[in-house]
This record gives sequence, C-alpha cells and structure tokens, in this order.
Amino acid sequence: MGAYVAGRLLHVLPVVIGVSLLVFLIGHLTPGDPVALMFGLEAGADPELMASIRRELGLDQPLHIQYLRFLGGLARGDLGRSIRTGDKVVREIQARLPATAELALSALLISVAIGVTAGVISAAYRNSGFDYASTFGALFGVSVPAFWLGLMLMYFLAVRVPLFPVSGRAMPLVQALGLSLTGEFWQFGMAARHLVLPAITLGLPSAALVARLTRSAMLEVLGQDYVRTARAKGLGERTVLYRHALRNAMIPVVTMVGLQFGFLLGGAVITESVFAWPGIGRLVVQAIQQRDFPLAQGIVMIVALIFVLVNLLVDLAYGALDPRVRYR
Amino acid sequence: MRPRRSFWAAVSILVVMALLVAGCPARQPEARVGKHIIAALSTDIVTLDPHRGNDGPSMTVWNQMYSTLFDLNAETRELIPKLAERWERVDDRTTRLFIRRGVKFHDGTPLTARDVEFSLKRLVDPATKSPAAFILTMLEDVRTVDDHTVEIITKEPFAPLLFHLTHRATSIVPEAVVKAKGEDFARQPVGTGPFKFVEHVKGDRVELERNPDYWGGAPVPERVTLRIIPEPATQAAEVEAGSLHIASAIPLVDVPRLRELADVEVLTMVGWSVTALLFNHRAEPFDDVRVRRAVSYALDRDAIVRHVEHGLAIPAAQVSSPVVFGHNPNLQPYPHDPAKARQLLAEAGYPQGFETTILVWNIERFIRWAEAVQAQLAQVGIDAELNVVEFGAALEMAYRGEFEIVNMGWGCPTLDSDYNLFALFHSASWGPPGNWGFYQNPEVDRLIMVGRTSADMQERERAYHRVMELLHQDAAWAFSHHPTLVLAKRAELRDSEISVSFVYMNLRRAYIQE
Repeated sequence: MGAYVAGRLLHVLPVVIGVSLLVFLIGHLTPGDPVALMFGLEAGADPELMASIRRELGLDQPLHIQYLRFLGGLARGDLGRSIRTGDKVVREIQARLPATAELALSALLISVAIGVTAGVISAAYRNSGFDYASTFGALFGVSVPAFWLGLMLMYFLAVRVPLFPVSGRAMPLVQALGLSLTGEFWQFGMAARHLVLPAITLGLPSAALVARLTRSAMLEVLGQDYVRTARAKGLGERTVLYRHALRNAMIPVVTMVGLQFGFLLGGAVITESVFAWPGIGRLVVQAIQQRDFPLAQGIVMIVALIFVLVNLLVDLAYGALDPRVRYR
Repeated sequence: MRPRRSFWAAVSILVVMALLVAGCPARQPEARVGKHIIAALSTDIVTLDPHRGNDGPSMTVWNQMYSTLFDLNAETRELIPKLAERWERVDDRTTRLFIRRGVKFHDGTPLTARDVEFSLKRLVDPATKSPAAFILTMLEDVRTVDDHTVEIITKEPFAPLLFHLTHRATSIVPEAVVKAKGEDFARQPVGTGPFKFVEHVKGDRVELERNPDYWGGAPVPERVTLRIIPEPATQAAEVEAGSLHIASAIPLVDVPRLRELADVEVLTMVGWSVTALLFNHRAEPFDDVRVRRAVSYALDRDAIVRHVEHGLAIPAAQVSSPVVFGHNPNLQPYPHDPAKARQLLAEAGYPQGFETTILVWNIERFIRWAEAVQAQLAQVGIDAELNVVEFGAALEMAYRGEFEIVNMGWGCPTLDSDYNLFALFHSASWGPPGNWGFYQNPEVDRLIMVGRTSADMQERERAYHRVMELLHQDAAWAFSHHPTLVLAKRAELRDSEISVSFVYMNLRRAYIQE
C-alpha cells in the first residue's frame, strides 16, 4: 500500500504541471491586458506609461519565456507576485485558503449528515411519506440557486429573526477554538455562528445529491442475498441496515462526497460573495477578471493539488470499506 | 422502528447543536457600543500604499490614514487646504505651497517639505508602477525650498493642478519610513491621517484606530472597521440588521424599501460620472453627424432614468455632470423625437435604417441599459445587436478602435472638466487614453487647451461651456445620463462630514447616537 500511495503521489506532478500549462495558456490567450485593466477608465491610460509597467512586470516577454520563468519559480517553490497588489501569491493564498477550507468542510459535514440520514431512511421506508418528502426536498435542494437560498436564509434568520450574523467571518475557527480553551467560549460561538448560514447554503445542494445516491445504493444492496440471509439469521433491523447494507452502499457515496468536496472548494464563489466570506473562490474570479496571471495560476494549481489528494484519500477509503480491495 | 428512532436522534442532535451555537453570546458586549464605526467596501483594497493603486476601496482607506495637500468638498466643489496651508502662483508654470507646521506622521516624526517632494516624485516614477501616475504626468519638477515650502513646476501651464493634488493617489508618505521599509511599507503603512492602520485581513476587513495626535484634532471614533462585502444585497441586509453603519453599495431596487425603514437613511447626490454611447467616428455610418444626431434623438432619456436607473440618475446633455466645473447649465439633452431621428437617417441615406453592433461591458447595470437603448434605436429603424463582452476584453477592443458603438461610463474624480475633456475629446488622446472613437474638432482642441492652461477661472469656464456646446452640436457621443451616488447609513450614526461620495468620506467626526 505504501508503494501504491507513493506512486499515486508521483502522479500528482504531471497533473499539476498540466494544469499549470492549461491555466497559463487560457489566461494569456484570453483577450484583455492586466495593465490596461489596472488603469481601467482613467484619464491617463498613457501608452508609454503602460508599456513601461508591462516591461517592469515582464509581460513584454514571449509567452514561452514567461511560462518557463513561471516553471522556474515553481521549482523553487515561488509562485511569484500578484500583478494587482504586488504581494506574494503564496501569501494571498495563505490568507484566503483556510476560510474556504473551513466553509467547505462544514458544508460537507452538513451534506453528509443530512444526505446519508435521509437516504438511508428513504431506502428503508421506500414509498413512504418520508421517502416522498425526501425526494421532493432533494429536488428542491438541487434546483434552488445558491444566490437565492443564501439571501432567503439571510433575510429570515439574520435580518428578521436575528439568530445568526448577516455575513462575514469573525475569525478563523481554529483560532476561536484556541481562545475558547482559554475561557473565552463566546469567541467560538461567534465564529461558529458566522459559519452556519453559508455552510447550509453551500451544503444543501450536495446534501440532496448525497441523499439520492445513498437511497439508490441502499435499495440495490437491500435486494442482495446476503441482506436476506442476515435478516433470516434473525439480526435486528438496525444491524442489517447499518452493519451490512449501509457499509456496502457507501462506496459510490464516498466517491461522490470526495468529488463534491472538490467542487465545494472551488465552486463556492457565489456563497462566498453573498456572505462576504473571505475565501479563495472570490479571489480567483477576481484574479481572472483582472488578468492577474500569477495569482490565478497559483490558486488553480493549489486547488488542483487538493483535488488530486482528496481523490487519493477516497481511493484509500475504499479499502477501509471493502476489505476485498487491494492496492497495487 | 429503530431507524426512525436514530433519525430523530440525529435530528435532535443537530437541533441541540444549532441551539448551542445560536445561544452563545454573539459578541463581547462592549465591542459594538459607542465609538466603533463599521462601514462596507465593495471589493477588497488593492494596496495600503497610496502610490501603488487607483481603486475606490483603497482610496476610501487611504483617506482615513493619509492626508493629501488639498481636499475637495464634493458637494460644493470647494478646495480645502489640508497639508498645504496656503499656496501662491510664482509664474504660469510654478506653484509654491506652504506646508502646514506641527503635523506628525503616525510614527511621531514631523512632516517636512522633503516628504512632499519625495511623495509626488515617487508617484510619477515608473519604477513605482503606480496606475495613478497619470494624475501628475504634467509635473516637471518638485523642489524643496525650505522645511515648509515646496515648489511644483509643470511642463506647461496646468490650471487644474491643485484639483489634481486632491486625488487620493497624491497622499503624502514619510520618506524615511518608505525608504527603510521598501516593499513592506504596503503592509505597515504610516501616514498623517486621522486613523492609524491596525490590520488588513485579506478579503475580509481593514481595521483602523484613532490617531490622537491628528493635526486636525483627535478623531471621535476609537475604531473604524471597513468590512469587505461584495454583494450589494448583503450590504443592504447588514444595514437593515444594524450590524453595519454605512453601506457603500446597495441594489437600486432596494432604495424605496430602505427609505421606509425608520432606522436607515438613504443619502443621494448627483454623481460626477456619465453614461453614454461612444461612436467610432472612423466607421460608417457614424462619421456622419446626421446619423449621430439621429441616435441622440432616438434615445428616451426620461424612460431610461425612470425604468433602468430606478429614478436614481438625471438625463445628460453633456459629458460633465452638474457637480463638475465646466458643466454648461444652458444645454438641454436632445429631446426624444423618433420622427426627427427617422428624417435625419433618411437625409443621411438610410431611409430604411441600418444594422450596427454595440459593444457592451458584461456589467449588469450596463447590460440592462444597453437593452433599453437597443429597443429605443429599433423604433427608428436602427437594428443594433448587443455584443456583450467581458470588461477586460472589451477594454482591449475599445483601445484598438474595434467597435462601431461602445458603451461608456466615465467618472471625473477631480471635479474639473479638464479631466473629462482632454482625455475623451482632444485629438491628442486618440486610443487608450480615452478618445477611443477618434473624435476630432480643431476648435474643441483649442478650447480644451485654453481651459487647461489659463489661470483665469472665468475664462476657463467660458471655454468649457463652449466646448460642451460644440460636442452637443457634433453629437460627438450620445450622452444618456449621470448616475446618482447612493449610500445607506444607520440613522444612529451621526456626523457633520458624512458625504455621499464615499471615496471622499472621512470618518473622523462620526459617532453613534445611543
């Protein structure tokens, strides 16, 4: 298994380089010039001044030279500096990634908790009232736009009935946890409360997917001979459902949850905007709009890296779920 | 029955967790009370170094931390001496500024004329890479005469110089600190403004604290938090909930609803920007003045103001809005007259109208406006296709003159028409500087230069009034409207100096009425 993991980790390298090339090319071949955008609509978009800034930034170099420079920096662990802010890309990502990770993990937790529970019950009580309600809820969950859901939650649970803060992130959850240990428990409460609405907004649509998939996987497993055998042995329904059926039904679910996590990490732009959450989704969209090439490349590569690692974890999870799986 | 029980167990655990979280005290009781002002920015700031950016949010923050030589009252257009206490014109190219005495930077060192010289030169130095360097491109030299006197020499006579010195990018920084810190200055900024920098949590907020030694007297607020809230609907919700004192951007559709609320105030002011159709004067049929006039007659500006801008704009007859020096109050917009438009088109050889394309930025406000314009043009036989393009790409197309008509939204932060006219209509500004459509009129060129170089304000004003008339006759652009500036604030936030023009807003006198 060690060799398997090492091999898989080696695969990360070509993936990241491929992603970097793709991002680099797409970024540079899209019309739009970062320096022009820096000036925007201003009375002095003087071509000479713009040319000198372009030179300072190395944007006047041929594309392949720029890419090789980028790769050279990458080899030294240097992602360069943001064109817009002049700050190191690594620093920009460090500042924003934890917020996104926090939000994505909470959303994942919500989606698994709600999705698996609803899916299992739906399957166990097929065609019952709960099943229909859960189907309807899932349909609602996947159809409702995050923008609308977020604003509705905000309006009813933060403005009308002020249970939660409207938007923003009080402080990193880890830091809040640390402060709670020193007795300032309210700090953790505040950080957690800020997280609730965005996490629900982000997690609900994937909870719907998880619920549908869990239900169908459970139904398939519940029709298997070994489930009938288990019941015939006189095992309790709970043991049959959780020990025998659910565990076998989890393989497709775990696969999808892994993929969902990738989407949650990269696709939280709307939720982040609505809730003024200082995450990486907003940052990458802005970087692309402003043609801030180093920043956009840096973020996409980091997210790609995480995506690859999560997939590896998912593959390893199969082994834990199904002892027959062998890693070679 | 067991799964049902476990389901309810799970639900109750979730509910208990939610209640626990909801039940936690929201925040430290004294944190919100009193002298802590919370305002919203629409995007994150680019930089805390005033010579490295040129965006609204950064300028709002700089305005709290730094001082410029002069300030501008956006409502009265009055020049206010700040770090420059007084000034005198030595000759038509030299201005002498007397720097205020007793001003200290946040690190305690006194401000001297040398810091002023250093700051202005740093802004225009290409190595600084300031996107706002253009604001002082007319500079030939800055000379320190003594500790509190500095002379600014321009390449040519430049009348609006002092207005340019109100631009936030001309903020004064301490030479010694900048030289010592280098790139780190942007992370540990030092100014002479009423608030000191505390921290910038990227993407989330900027925290500032009172500078008790501020030269204009200690500010009232102890702390200022500028939160980054990109979504206007969220800003509106925050103000409504009472957790935000000032919202800089709110959805226009929400304005009537917010006005109804007792504890929210909506402030409005005629803005200094203009929305218009910019013609490519080199492309048929817009090289014909009759066609351009026909487009102007086809526009129903009142309908646009009412339905697209929700009443929060005024119809435009010229590039400079009423708050900008040089605005010609006698000029009326072209009336909405489709028959006249059709007649002009027929005279120009297009009795059946023609097809054209409007290049539109992918910004919601402009798209909605362009759709209305498209429908109005269709009524006179002009079949306009909208080519909605991402802003960066559209800008590049506009720079290259690759358009027949392009939408335009242009602001005038110096409130002096030179900023509008030289860039947008002088033939020396063809291409990227702003005259994207290659407009040319020798008389307009001449008068713009009179306005730029004359020291006589009345002569300047006359020149600008005449330019506005000529641009109107030429129908150089089809001017549509001047958008209104809108800001929402909590009623309990009081301040004699809160201005709708957020970029110019300084919070040093703000306080919360308990």
